[in-house]
Amino acid sequence: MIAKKEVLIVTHCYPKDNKDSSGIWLKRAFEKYPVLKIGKYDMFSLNRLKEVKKHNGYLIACWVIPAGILAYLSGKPYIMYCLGLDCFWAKRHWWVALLFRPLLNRAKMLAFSSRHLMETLNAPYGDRYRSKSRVVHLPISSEEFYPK
Amino acid sequence: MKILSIGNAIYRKRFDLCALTCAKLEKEKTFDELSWRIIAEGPELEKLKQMAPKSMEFLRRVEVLRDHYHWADVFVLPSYDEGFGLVYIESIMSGCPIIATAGEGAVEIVEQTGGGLLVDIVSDNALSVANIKKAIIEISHNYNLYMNPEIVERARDKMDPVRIQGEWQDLLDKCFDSKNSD
Repeated sequence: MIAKKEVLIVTHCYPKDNKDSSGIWLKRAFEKYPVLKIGKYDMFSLNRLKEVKKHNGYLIACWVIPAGILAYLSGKPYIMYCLGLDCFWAKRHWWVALLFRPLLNRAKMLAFSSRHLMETLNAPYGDRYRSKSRVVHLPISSEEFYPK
Repeated sequence: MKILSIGNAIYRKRFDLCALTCAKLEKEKTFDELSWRIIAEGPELEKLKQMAPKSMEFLRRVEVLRDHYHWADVFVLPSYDEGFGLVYIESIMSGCPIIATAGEGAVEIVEQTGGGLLVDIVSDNALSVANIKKAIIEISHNYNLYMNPEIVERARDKMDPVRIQGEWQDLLDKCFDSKNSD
């Protein structure tokens, strides 16, 4: 079994503190794992790359851009967790699909927060990544949302 | 009829269609009482407020959404480029049926829970508004078909944090076991 401390979550969208709600759903999913929050444009930041490389374990890169690029450049084994608009860009623009290709090739697995996103990102690549694509939803607590 | 919409006030959320549908329901007096609450922030907000009919109210982002789902009879968000749409499933888990765009992320939510309807959103706004209106009327007439304890349970199960943590653990073990790992 992979211990939680061996996994590092890399993401640009994560709450700064308890008052910040941006990416709160990602916190719910990975609250027991260590998280490296990066900036939106940190995909080519050497300092960030050094931080990622320092981690002695596995990565879950949340979003292809920017976290997926850092994960790729780090040379560490990673799962790409695809959550949003970048999947639509790859479907719409051939050059984005081309840019994503090496990042997706090297990912151990592609996880998607919905079936629709899985279909969307896989569309430009045919069956190339189907066998390593999985849907893993973002969790929602029934203690927070329940009928009246 | 109490209707709720939540999201960033950006074009792809199509709050403009909500405003047009609200205006149509108001004009045609489809319901004795009509209240449409939009919880949103973003660049399109001022424009939306200008086109909003009098039954429509706007709230800034709130901390506890659950109370608003409880208030509403139906949740409507006709957005596109929606990867999944957590607000849809939060709504169903809170006991409020949804109306979402066909062919978008919410398809699996509606198909797997049965907690709402999918509508075709097309380039013709009048047709899209007619589709949304029809779905609102359908849900108001057959409420128990689109919201009941089984539907809530299916939504809860789908998003269960413990099960999802287990899925991540399985995935990590599968990807990074000693034979597989780099």
